[in-house]
Amino acid sequence: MGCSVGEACKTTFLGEGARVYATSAGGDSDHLSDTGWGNLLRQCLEELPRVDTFICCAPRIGAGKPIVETSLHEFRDILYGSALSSWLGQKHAIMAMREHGEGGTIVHITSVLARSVANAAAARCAAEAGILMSAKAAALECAKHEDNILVHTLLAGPIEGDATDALPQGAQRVAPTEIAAAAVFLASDAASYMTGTELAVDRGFLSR
Amino acid sequence: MTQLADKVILVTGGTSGLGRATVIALAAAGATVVFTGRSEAGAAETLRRLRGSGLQANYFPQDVTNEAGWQEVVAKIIDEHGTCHGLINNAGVSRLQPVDRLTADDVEFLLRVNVEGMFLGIKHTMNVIAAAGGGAIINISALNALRGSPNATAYCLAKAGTTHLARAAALEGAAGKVRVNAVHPGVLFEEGDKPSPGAIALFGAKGAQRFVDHHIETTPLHRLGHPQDIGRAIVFLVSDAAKHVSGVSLVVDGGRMAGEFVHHGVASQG
Repeated sequence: MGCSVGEACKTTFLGEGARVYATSAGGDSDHLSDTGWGNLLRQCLEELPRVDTFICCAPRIGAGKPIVETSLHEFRDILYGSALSSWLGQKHAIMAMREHGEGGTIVHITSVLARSVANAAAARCAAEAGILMSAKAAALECAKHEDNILVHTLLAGPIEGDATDALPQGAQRVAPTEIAAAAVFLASDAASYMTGTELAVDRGFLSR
Repeated sequence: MTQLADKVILVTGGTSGLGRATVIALAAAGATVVFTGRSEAGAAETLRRLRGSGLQANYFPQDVTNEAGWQEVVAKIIDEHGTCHGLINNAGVSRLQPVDRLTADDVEFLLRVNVEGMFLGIKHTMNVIAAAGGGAIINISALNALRGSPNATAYCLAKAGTTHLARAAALEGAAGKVRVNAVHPGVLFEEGDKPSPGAIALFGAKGAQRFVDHHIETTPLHRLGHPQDIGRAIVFLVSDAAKHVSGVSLVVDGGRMAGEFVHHGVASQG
């Protein structure tokens, strides 16, 4: 994970009594391949009996440049590092959960950029909107499969204390612990009738 | 029609289906149309149909995922027509499979054409269109950009990217009066009210006819959608009639996205 949101999720889930396997996908080319994600899930299952919950934090990186000044390389780094990596994580988590047969919950943590836009953040906007809609497709596909796997997306405001996080006009910063608390709720039995949900943790920003 | 007289418009993927209908609709509205694609035979068919209606357009071969190719196509347009007022980012691909049957390669392919290809188109035309005094870019998306469905985890990923990229670009293009919008076609049928040869090959004559009948029954406007329906929406969005429209998602689907519909007692199954 290597990000403040991931760290907060780890701490909060541990506090709730969960057993947590935390990992960072950033900077590792393996997170863009089926082999890499397959290996990651295998390593995880050597330490834990099964995976009930998969929290997938999309990286909050952006070229920070207008489209006309962004190189294909910069655009692709963000698109693949976020959208492709999250899609692969979702796929391999679903396969691991189907293997143990007891269902589970996947929570993608994206930002308000999945629904709104900001200047000089086009690649992140495209990637995060993609993750949100792919999560809804996965939710419906798993429901049809009757495998009791639920898939959600959290849309968080810009993170408190992270100066590099793109800030849409008018959005207020959110503490990582607020996001982690919402993730715990979605992963809990209290949310067992919810799937394909998009939950904004944004002090009302997306409701404007 | 002269709605688009003096406008120079580039259409990608103009060698088949929706792209072809768009080329014809834009030319019929008076635009100077340049279209690109990867199929020489498809291009010839588009040109043949244009001639049949007394219209014309220029064709250049292009792979939209190649950046040098974009620079070349834009340079040729400037060379031949002096300017460019619009881009229809139409070239797109789909792969519908259960999540465990899709691979990283499938997803990469979908992202490369549906998102990167459109990013490159916007990147290399936005300043040119702004220099022409403004104009329009349209990303052709899909209903799966707005709602999920089984077997579409990768397609939704890519097409939601197509749509949200348009919205982000709308923000950046505004200063140069470059409007950027997304169009979301519903299911399109090529052959009037009859099943297409492709559907007949896939489902058999009876099955294909049932699909057509069911589609008509469950579509609020009680008709099939055709590529020409999308072409007309695109002409509107490109034209000055839409000069205050930017950053929107225009759904053209006979009302199906509006929700569950029952006609003659048949319930929609989506």
